Amino acid sequence: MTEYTILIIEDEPDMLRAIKLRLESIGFKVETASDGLEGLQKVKSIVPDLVLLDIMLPKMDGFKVCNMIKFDKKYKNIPVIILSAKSAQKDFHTAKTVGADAYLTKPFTTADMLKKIKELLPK
Amino acid sequence: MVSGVSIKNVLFLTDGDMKYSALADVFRKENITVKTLNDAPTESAFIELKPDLVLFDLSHERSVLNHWEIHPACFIPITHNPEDMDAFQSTWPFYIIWSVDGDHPDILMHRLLSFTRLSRGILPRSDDLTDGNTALIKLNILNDLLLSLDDHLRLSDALSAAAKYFDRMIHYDLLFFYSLWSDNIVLLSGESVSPRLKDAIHILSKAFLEEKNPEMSRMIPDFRYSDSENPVRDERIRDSLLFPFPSTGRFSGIIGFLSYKNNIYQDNDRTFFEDLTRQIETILGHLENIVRKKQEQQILTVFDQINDAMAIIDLQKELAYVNHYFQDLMGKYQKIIPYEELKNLFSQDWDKVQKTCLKDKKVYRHKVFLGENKADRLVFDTVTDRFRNLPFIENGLILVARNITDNQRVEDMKADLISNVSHELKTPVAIVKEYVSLMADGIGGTLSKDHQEFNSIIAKNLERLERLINNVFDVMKTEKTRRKQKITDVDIPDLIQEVVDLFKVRYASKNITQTTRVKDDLPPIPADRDVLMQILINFVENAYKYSDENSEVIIFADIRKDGNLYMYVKDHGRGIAKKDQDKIFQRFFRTGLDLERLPGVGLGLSITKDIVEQMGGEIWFESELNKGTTFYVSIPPMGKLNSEFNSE
Repeated sequence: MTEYTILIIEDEPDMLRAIKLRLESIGFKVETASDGLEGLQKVKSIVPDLVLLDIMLPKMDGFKVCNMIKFDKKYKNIPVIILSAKSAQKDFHTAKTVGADAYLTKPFTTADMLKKIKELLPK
Repeated sequence: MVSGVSIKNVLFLTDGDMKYSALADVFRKENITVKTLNDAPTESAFIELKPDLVLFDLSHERSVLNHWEIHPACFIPITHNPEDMDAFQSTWPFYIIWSVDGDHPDILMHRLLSFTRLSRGILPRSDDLTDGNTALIKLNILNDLLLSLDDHLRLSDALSAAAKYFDRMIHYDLLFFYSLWSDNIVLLSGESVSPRLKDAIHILSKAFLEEKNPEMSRMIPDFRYSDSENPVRDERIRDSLLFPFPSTGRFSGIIGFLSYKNNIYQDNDRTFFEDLTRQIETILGHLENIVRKKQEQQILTVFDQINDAMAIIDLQKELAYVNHYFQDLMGKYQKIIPYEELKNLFSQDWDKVQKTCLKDKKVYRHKVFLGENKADRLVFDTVTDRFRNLPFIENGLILVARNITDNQRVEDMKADLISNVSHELKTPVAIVKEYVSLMADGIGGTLSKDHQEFNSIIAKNLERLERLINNVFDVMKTEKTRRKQKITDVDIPDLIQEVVDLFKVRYASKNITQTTRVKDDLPPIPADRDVLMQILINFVENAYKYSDENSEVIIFADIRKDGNLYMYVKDHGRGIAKKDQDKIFQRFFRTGLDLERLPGVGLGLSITKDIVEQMGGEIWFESELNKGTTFYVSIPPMGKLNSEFNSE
């Protein structure tokens, strides 16, 4: 299996670590960032195969980060999965507007997340 | 100023012609206030001057039409081009069109003043009547009627005022009006109606009706019953002349002239009577208009006192009358605004409003927001209904908008708070779940058999905690968007058993007995099962929380004679202190003890109460400190009741 790199942008360190452990156990290479700005920089420096993105982030919120990724020709093909504790219809629409490829509401099951990741990763 | 002249203020709308300014000066010489405008008059010109008389050049005809129904002034079109007269006579049936062309202003003024002076001189006989004189009669009567109207506002008074003018020119001893609707006889002159006279009038009217079909649209406007040998009942009446009233359309009454003299009415009197009858009609039409205006003013005065924004919408004229509160809201002080403007201010689906109110005959409720910005927008609870039984609007709506901005703000804050609390709760749960799941999958090392079991207990309870949090969140959402009902026939014993089962483990942990008192053969009741469930869960959960160990909780349900579902949940717990009893249905209220050690956010009861009341039911409780609390509900069968649940 090709080694895919997944970037997790999440400010909750415990959550970040849990997802990292999970993905690594499956064999993904995992990079992390704990605020929006750092996340965006890492998207540009690492160019991951997929981004898992929280909404409520310090420095720059997830929607903005997603928008910046999708606005940039160089990175817009990187799939972005938004992870959010919000399930309001409004947020879902915002996520769509900023070009997110998928939207998962916390708490989501590991299986859900993996399924989405597999769907979105380049074949 | 000549005594008896009612004219004090004149609004003079001219086309700027010099002849008019000369005329205005003549008015001023008579100490009459004249305001001359060359442009179209504004509403404020009328409000400031309060004109008794509006003289307007025919070029102003259109702009005057906007005002002449609203202000009880005498409107007289005037022109300096005699050719205009014919063209406009038809538009203004009972007002004079007067030409000033070629007349000296003084002469013209003299004429105008004599129109307005209420000169009670002898009216000319019909054969003397020229066009100008007819106009004179019309205006004289009108003026007098206007004056009498200030005192009485009654149609019969107005009619008798009109009758004064007939007095001296055409001989009659009695003038009456007989209303077909009320079967009332109003004597417009002289004597009171004696029983015999009443009989006579009835006989005459009946004979008249036999000859004239009231359904006919146009009547031949005369009827004469004359027989000197056999006077009608009252032996004195020897001649009569009757007219349908009004003379066009379906008539509603009869105007009659009666005389004690033989053969007093001549054939050539008929045209004159006909003319007069028509004049009375038009004058009455105008009077009714004025009466309506007065009523309207009274209504609008009350309307202005009300501390909610109100608008009465006239759909035919596409206008809206708005009260003071509304004007404050608009920042514009105008009593009448175009319907369009109202629509723009209170943006809601007005077609739907009209359909609901006029076709479905239901009240339309809607929440309307004024302003884009959430922080400083105003929130209104609006109610719109058909507007009925008002003299001045045939097809209308009434809108009442209550400012609930403050309430809304509090509600929003609570909703935000709940949303935040929910988020804060969900995050740690999600994290713990992740690690539990990692451990279960052996990531980080294999677990011992015991550890696997412990881990699965943690997982199970996490699920439960998650459900609880979601419940709070769901309840909060039902608050914001009231859910649609799912009415089914609910098996109550079955429902209660489900609730009991749900709490079995928890109750066992405190060794509390759940006793159910439900007849097994209770018939199914139409209701929303989930809602009943939610209510019961709330009660049973509360009972659990506040019960001490080793006690009993009783769940009772029955269907009462009135068909209502009656349920209670009784605990033997610590009860509710008197001082707290009136607060327990408040949101976020929890007793002092609660705060010390019991879990919960204090939402349950307030929401349960909302739900029960939405269903048209009742909720109440009895409680005694240290003895226990019983919560009761009584809920009408659904379906019978019109559901008020909105899906907005």
